[in-house]
Amino acid sequence: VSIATTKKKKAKNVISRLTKAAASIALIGSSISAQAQSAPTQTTVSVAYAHYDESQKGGESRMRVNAPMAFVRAPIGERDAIEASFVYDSMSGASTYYLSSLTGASGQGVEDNRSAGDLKYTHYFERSSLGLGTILSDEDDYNSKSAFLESKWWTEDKNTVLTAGVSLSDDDISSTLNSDLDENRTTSGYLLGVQQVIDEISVFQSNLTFSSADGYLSDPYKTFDNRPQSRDAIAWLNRYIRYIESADASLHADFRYFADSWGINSQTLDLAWYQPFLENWLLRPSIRYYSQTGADFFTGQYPPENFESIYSADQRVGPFGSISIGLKLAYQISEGLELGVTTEFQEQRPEWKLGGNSHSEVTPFYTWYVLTGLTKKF
Amino acid sequence: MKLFLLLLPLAVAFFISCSPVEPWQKGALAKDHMQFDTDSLETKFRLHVEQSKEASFGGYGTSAGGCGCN
Repeated sequence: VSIATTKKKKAKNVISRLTKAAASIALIGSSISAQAQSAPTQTTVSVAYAHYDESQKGGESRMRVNAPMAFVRAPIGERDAIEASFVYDSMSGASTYYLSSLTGASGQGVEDNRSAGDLKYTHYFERSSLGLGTILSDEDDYNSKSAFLESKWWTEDKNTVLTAGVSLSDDDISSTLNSDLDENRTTSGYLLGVQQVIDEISVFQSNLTFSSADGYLSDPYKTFDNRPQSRDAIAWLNRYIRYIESADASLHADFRYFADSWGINSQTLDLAWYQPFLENWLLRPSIRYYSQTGADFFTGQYPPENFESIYSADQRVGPFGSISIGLKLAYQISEGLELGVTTEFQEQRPEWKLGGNSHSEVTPFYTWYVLTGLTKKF
Repeated sequence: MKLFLLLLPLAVAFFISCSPVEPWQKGALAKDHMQFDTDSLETKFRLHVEQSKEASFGGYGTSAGGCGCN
């Protein structure tokens, strides 16, 4: 993937690194396709355009992102396949959602662009596959390079698939405000997964991932933000799909448990109903509930009592719960050509955290996006 | 972690109890909407939006890096 970057940055004022990142769209976990137990026989090409919008309670601050993106997966001969995607996102707006380095940043504008791409090459053996890939992402003040290796093994009847993966990332962090800031972090990631066909109408997948990050993990745009120099995290994801014959529909249920060495743990439940209708149409309503505890060092107090202490007032590492509601409508225009529109609304609230919350200062927060995509298979 | 230890035996029992499904019985499983990843761009976009707003990540792929949102 060629990472052609055209960047122009006009930071009239400070906006939190995380707010920009919150609004930025990159390609993460591109090694997702856990279901392919044989080389693809078709080429898939997708293009999509997403619009993302976020606002906090009070409604005066806003952040918007527009992101065109593209994806291709193609067989090479009978035993190899290549997969690539690219996204370019441009963000604009202003937000006070996160405490920024300068107070009173509300209403000030910021613009930033980002380019990200990934590439994956997979070779298929009789009963296994081996994939090698890279993910690159570039902004003015953040550059990330990662490489990953992924292998799958399946039983002869293809009812059981085992997956193992490893990844390594190297990120460089700078700041448009402080030219002296030149930081780095490295992250290693590991995945173990199993997928099992349960019966003629249902399939199950369970993935365990572990990651370990070392280096600069703070937010350069927040005064006093000072996080530990390392972070270990595990995630355990369980996914279930069941076909509902009476409706020719399917139910998708995902549950994820997450825990890290900062004292954060979370639970996510995601439900989606895929309902085909009128031959060429598909409607997919979905609902997601998420709840996280805060990091040990999270505090709503600003500024900190001791400026040297491990400290963050970033809401993202604070305790909250959220609910998302989504809807997708897809239409098959002709054989192999599909148009889809997906929209999702999310609200974050401190009181929606499981087990209650003593941090009522965490601000309610709303996000919304719409993504329109066209996919061609041939 | 407690949750993991609690659910692990259940998961093991579950896999043992699965009876083999033959290729000709996989009509429903082969449907487009029965796949884990039905739309790559949408999945990637959605995961990233979530990851950029929350402290959690992982489970869906090996790569924990790739962006400045953590």
